[in-house]
Amino acid sequence: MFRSIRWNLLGWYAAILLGVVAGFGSTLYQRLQTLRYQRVDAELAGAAQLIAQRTRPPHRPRGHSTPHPEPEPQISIPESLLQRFGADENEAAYAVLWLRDGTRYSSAQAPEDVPAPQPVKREDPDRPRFRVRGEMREVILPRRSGGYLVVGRNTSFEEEQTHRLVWILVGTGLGVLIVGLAGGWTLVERALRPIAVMSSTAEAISASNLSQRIDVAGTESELGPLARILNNMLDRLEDAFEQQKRFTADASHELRTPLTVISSQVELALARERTGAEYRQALATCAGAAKRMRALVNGLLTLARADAGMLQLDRAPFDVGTCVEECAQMLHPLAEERAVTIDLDLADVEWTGDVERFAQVVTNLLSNAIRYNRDGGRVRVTLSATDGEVVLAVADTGIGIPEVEIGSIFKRFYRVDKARSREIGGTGLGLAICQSLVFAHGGTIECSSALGLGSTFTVRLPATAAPRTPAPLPLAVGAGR
Amino acid sequence: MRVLVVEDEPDLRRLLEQALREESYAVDVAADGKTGLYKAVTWDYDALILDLMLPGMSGWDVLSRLRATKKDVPVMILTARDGLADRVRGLDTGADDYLVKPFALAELHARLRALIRRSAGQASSRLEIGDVLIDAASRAVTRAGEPVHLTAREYSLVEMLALRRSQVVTRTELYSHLFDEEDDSFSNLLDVHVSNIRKKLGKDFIQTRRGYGYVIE
Repeated sequence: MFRSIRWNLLGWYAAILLGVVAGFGSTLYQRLQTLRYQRVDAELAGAAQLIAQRTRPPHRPRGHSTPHPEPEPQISIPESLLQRFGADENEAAYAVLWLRDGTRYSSAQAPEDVPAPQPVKREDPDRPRFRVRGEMREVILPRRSGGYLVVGRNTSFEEEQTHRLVWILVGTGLGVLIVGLAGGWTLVERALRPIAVMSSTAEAISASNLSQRIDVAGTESELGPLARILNNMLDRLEDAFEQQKRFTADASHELRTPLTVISSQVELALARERTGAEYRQALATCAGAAKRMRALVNGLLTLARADAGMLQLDRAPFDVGTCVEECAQMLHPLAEERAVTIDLDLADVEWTGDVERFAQVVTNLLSNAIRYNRDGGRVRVTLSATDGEVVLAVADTGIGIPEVEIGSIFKRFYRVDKARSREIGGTGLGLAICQSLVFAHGGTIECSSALGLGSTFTVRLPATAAPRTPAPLPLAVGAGR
Repeated sequence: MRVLVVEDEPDLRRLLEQALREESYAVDVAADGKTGLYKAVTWDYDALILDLMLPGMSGWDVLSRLRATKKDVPVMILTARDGLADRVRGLDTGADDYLVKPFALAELHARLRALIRRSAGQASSRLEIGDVLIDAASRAVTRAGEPVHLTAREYSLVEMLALRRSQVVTRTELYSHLFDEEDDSFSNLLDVHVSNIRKKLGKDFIQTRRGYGYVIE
C-alpha cells in the first residue's frame, strides 16, 4: 500500500514541504536572533563608551613618590541608559571597572560574581569585545590606562521573546504542514481517481467478459488518450476472441456432424442382423462422412499452418497455363455432370511458386465456379501477365453473390446459401484456404459479382513472390484487403 | 408414437429416420426450419427432434414460433452446439431436452421414451394394467408373467392407450399418432390391430366407445 503512487507522491510532497517550512523557519529565527543581539550589543557598546567617558580617574601628579591612594572612581550610569535598560532588577544594566592593578569597582546593581575579563594580546579601546555569561550579555571595553570596563545586562527578556518566537514558528510550521499535506492528499486523490476507475474497470474485464469499456468522458486529462488506447486494444481483443469463438464453434460443429453420422450409422447397423446390401450402405455412409472429415481436417491444418506462417512453399518455375489446363481437365467430369462449358483463354506465362498450392487454388475456384453455376452455364478462365504480375480470373455464369456478402465469403465456414451448400457439400473452407495460399505467395484475391449473372474471382500474383504477413488468426479479412 | 425429425444433414436425417422406425415410431422428417415448423404445427406429434443450425429458419426460431402457437409437444434439441449458453437458451426457449452431437442412439431412444412418458404424466417406464405388464424400455409385454409377442404397430397402440389410461382416445388421434406420412392405407386398419391385441391380451383389455374411440380402463 505504501509503495503505491499515491503514497510515493504524498511522501515526496511532505518531504519537500517540510524542508521548505523548516528552512524558512530556521532562517527567520537566525536572522531575528542575530538582529536582536546586534541591537543589544550596540546598546551595551554605546553605554560602555558613555560610562567610560564619565568615569575619569582623579588626576595623579607625576613624580610623587608618596603612595597616594588613588581616589575611587565614580561609576555612574546615565539616567537615560537606566531608563532604557529598564529599572527592573533583572533587566537592569550594570557596570564593573577593573583598574590596571586589579582593583574592582562596580555600579549599584552589578552582581558580585562578574569575573574579570581575560586579557588578550592586542587590546583596542575602540573595539569592544563581547561575551555571554549565562543570561548575561556583556561588553568588555579595554581602558587606555589599563584595566577594563565591563558593561552588561540581563537578556532574559530577549531570550523569552526568542523562545516565544520558536514556538510560534514551530506551531505555524506544523499548521502549514498539516494544511499542505491535506491539500496534497486531495490533489493526489483527484489526479489518481481516473486511474483508479480505469484500473477497476480493467480488473473487471476478463476473457469471458470483454464487453466492458473505460469511461472516456470522465478522463479529459492526459489520461484520456490512455483510456482510448486501452479501449481500442479491448475492441481488437474482443473482436479476436469473438472470431476465435465463432471459428471454434463452427469447426466443432462441422467436425461433429460427420462424426455423428459415423457413430449413429455404426450403432444402428450393429443393433440387429442386416442384409449385405444394408451393411454396404452403412459402410458407404461412414466412408462419405470420413472423407468429409478428412477434407475438413486437411483444410484446418493448412489454415493453421498459414496462420502460424509455417506454410512450406516449394518454389520452382512452372508453366502456369499448363497447370490451369490440367486442373480444368481434372474437373471435366464434374463440369459435364452440370453441363457446364469451361472456356480457357491462357497466355503463355511462366511463374515461380509452389505448383501444388497454385493448383489447389485453381481447382478450388474452378470447382466453385462449376458447382454454383446454373445447369448449362459457362466458366471462363483467363490467364494473363502484365508488368510484374500474373493475373488469373475465373468467371462463372452462376447465381452470383449478394453485394453485402462479398466481404464475408473469404471467412472460414462462411456460406452464402446454407441449404444449397449442404446439398453441394464442401467444407466451407475453400475460399479461406485459397486466400491463405495466395497471401503466402504475396498475392491478392478478390471477387466481383452481379446477382443472377455470375461472379468473377481474380487472383493477382507478383512475379517476384514475397509472402504477405499472415492475417491475425482467425482470418476474417474481406476480399481485396 | 409419432415423431418429427428436423435435421438438415441428409445422412443423419436418413439415419435418425431409420433408427426411430426400427423402434416402431411413426417418423416424419423435415430438411429445413420452415418445413419443420409447418409440419410441427399441422400434425400432432408425440415428440420433436430439432437441430439448431438449420437453413432458412434456425432451430431457435422454429422452437419459439412453435411455442407461440401453444403447441406443447415435447421438443428435444439435437445439435453440435455444446456451449453452456446454447444449452440454457435452448431449454429456456421451450425445449424439454438437449442432446449434443455426437450422441449414442441408445441414449436418444431412452430420452425420447422419457419425454413421451413424462408428457403423458407417467414417471415409470413400467405400466401395470390388471395382469398385463408393459415395459416401455424393452418394449416387452407380459400377461400373468408370460411374455406376449406384439407386432410393432400393436405395441404402439397398446402403449399409447396405456399411457392415457382411462381416457378415451379417438380414432383420429390414434391415426395421427400411430401412422406417419409414408404409411400406406393397408396398415391403417385400426380395427384389425385392435382385434389382434384383444386376442393376445384378453377380450376386455381394450374397450370400444362407439362413436368416440378406444380406452384401456
